[in-house]
Amino acid sequence: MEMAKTKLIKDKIFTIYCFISLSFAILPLIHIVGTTLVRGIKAVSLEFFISLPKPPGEVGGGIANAIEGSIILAALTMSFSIPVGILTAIYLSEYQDNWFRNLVRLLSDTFAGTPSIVAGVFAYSLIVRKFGFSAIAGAFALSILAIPTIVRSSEEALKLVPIDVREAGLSLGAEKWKVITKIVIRAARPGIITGILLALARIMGETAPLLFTAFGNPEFVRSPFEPVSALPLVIYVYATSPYPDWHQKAWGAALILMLMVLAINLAVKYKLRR
Amino acid sequence: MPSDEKIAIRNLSAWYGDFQALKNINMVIRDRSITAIIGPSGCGKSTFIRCINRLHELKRGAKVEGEVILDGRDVYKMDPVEVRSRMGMVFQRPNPFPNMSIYENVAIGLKLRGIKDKEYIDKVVRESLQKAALWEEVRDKLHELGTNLSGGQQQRLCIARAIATNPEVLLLDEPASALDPISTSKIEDLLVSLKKEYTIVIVTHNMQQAARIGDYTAFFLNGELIEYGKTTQVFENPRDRRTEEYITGRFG
Ligand SMILES: Nc1ncnc2c1ncn2[C@@H]1O[C@H](COP(=O)(O)OP(=O)(O)OP(=O)(O)O)[C@@H](O)[C@H]1O
Ligand SMILES: [Mg+2]
Repeated sequence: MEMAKTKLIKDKIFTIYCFISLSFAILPLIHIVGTTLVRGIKAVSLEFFISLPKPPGEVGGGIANAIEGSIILAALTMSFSIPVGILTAIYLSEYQDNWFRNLVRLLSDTFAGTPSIVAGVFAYSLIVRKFGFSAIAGAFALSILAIPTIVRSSEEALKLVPIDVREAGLSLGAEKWKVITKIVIRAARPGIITGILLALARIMGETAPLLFTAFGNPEFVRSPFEPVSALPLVIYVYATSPYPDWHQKAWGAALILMLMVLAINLAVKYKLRR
Repeated sequence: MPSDEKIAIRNLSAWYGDFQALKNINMVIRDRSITAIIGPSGCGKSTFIRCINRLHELKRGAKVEGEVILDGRDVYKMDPVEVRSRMGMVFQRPNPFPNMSIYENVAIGLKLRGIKDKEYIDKVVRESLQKAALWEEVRDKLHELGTNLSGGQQQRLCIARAIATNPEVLLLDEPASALDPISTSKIEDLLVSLKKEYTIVIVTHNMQQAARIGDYTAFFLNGELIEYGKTTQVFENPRDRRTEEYITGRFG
């Protein structure tokens, strides 16, 4: 009886302890989300979404250029990273061990740990110094960050597809590449999509590599060879400016970015549950 | 040799690395018949049928020697893709393709061969599922996932998938090992009806099954073919003492 009571008390203490720790972890998060929501919502209006920024110091205008830029950067990055990432993953998981494959894996793992600023410097020295700031340069830097994520999750997903499935495909009299592209990829699709979405969520929020590649642009762009703005860039520039109106816009941009990333993460959750 | 010879196996040996799993197998598989392969676990039954459609060589360190002659041509001198397109295989564990509907599972073999005619594919899917005795159970849910079917249904789906491309030879590796008696007997009935069109080789652990449906029976032991003949002869009048011991359950 006494024993049981002590146990019950220990159990209670443990629960309370967990709850307190949890609060430490979650309160700042709630605070950040709450502040962004409260402050950001004040900046949000139709104009905020559809018009270009006013010159520094003037009130009004919007961040349509940054929204456009983020979409362009994401689209360019993904249209490059998805095929490269998936093909690399196929090479790693479906073909025989050899020195080249080990080299590819080593490279991919090394890139996976690359700090984002290094990816930016890399793109800067390789592209910007020759061709100037551009969306392409930004997308290149972001691809360095996105590809390893896609490679890794796709490779994991492909490896989870049982050998039986590949053998069954081959036994139908199909060539190996057809079995891979039509059957194995299909079986691994949920895992591959999850990896793509995670990579997307990551690059959407990257600022450092864009500072000296995409650079920023107060106008809409007409080609991927021009510098572009992006949500994280506006947040950085506006938040560090001396103008209160820009501070508010930075909160607004942060809110939009947060909602975008949240939407992507929810998509991942949904995918994983299925 | 009688003209009903479909596959002739000559001096077939197979290895996994240094381990020899098949030792100099010689046998003739007859057209439009069921040949049952029996023998204790690990004796090389799966390895044997995987040598016939050239799946064995895909395993790491695997090696094959000898000939497997299909209609007069050695499959080891043919394009493996052609060899496999003339043979269907059903695996020990049901393995429908993930994230594919029942319909797509059956249709994929045709699609991979570049066939696009929707009406023709529809017809083949229906006929294959009918032959596999699955049609009535799935006709209203063709577009649901194949992996959502029960184990027995999945195995019949795999049989439908294997026959949809109209192969000449059907290789089955213990297709009924994980099935209940009702599914098992459905599959047995199916095989007996399919032998009018196909040459069937079936690995089985189940002696009664071999006796029920096998026209011929081959008994393997430690990678060697110990006895091969008409099923009635092998079961009623085995020539080798080890065959008799295995069949009567007095083995090992
Ligand atoms: N991938 C492999 N690597 C090494 N040895 C293997 C491999 N696969 C099978 N073997 C060995 O080859 C021998 C024959 O295996 P096989 O799978 O053909 O047996 P089986 O008769 O089909 O057995 P079961 O009735 O249990 O399915 C066994 O001794 C097995 O251990
Ligand atoms: Mg086996």
